[in-house]
Amino acid sequence: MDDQSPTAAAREGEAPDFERLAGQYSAPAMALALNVLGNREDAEDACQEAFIQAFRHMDRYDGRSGFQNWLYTILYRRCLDVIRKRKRASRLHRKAWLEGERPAADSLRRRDVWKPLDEDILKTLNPKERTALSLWANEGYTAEEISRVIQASAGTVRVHLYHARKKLKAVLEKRDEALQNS
Amino acid sequence: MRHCKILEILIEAIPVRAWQDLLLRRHVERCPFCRARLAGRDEARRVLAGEQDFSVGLNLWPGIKARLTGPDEEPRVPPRPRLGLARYAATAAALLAAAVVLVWLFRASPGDRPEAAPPAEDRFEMGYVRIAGQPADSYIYQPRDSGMILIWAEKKTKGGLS
Repeated sequence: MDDQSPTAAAREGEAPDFERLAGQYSAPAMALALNVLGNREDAEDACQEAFIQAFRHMDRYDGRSGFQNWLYTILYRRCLDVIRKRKRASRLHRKAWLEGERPAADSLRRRDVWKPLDEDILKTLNPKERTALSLWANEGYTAEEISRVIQASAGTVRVHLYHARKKLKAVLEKRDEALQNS
Repeated sequence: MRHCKILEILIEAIPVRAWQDLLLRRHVERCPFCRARLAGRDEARRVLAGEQDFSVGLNLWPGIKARLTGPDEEPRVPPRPRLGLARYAATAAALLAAAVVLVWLFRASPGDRPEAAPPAEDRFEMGYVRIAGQPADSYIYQPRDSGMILIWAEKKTKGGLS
């Protein structure tokens, strides 16, 4: 199924195959959500919400941009909602999350399967920078394509990407240095 | 290299994204030194989660299906504060307050204002004063807050007041 298939299905009077669409786009959507949120549970919730919103409002999808791009736009907004909710949560809860209170063996096992987002990246890059970086690195998106997802100008995206790449380089260099010294 | 560092500082310092973008496009994207200071796609992929990390064990469909077939419970997201509108409202309120203060400051105080002329019926008027058929010097004095009016008239003398 190509990217334009939901529109094609609608044109032919068929209901889009939601299960197939969910299967096809779950993994890239989860990757993006995890890169923005840094937390697997939140990423899963955001992805489910995004798929549900997309499927419920499939009539609003005009097919001009790919379905994946449209889904990412919804997902990005959902991720921002999650971040906003998190900010409203108590300071204690936030602190516990940032300090990574995740001693449960089960969750550690799951993290071995699903690579967790690097804590340094999470702390150093802001959500917009992480989104831009994720789409640029994983999907090969251009600044123009990213700008449609995060609803900003291409110039702004280039600036976000510049900062993200610069910060990432600094984190990696620092880590390499620490490795060499140890 | 020094040029690059100056530009880097400029990019950090300039508050306008369009100008930052201009510097990025004009210099950073073309300069090998600057590009070497930025992480590449492969480096980013190394630390970011990717599609391949979820190729097994991920199945979101059951949860999605349950919610799709269930009652239409669109999650209620509290409306985002409309920053743009709030900013305009704050600016308008500030301008209004400034206008009120300015009017208040520049308004002449009651003491400074020229007193309005009394109505015609209350006004004291006197015709031409003559003494022995000759024009006379006349002086009128009314003490403040008093109904009394004193009139002093004297013959005009050649050297001034007699």
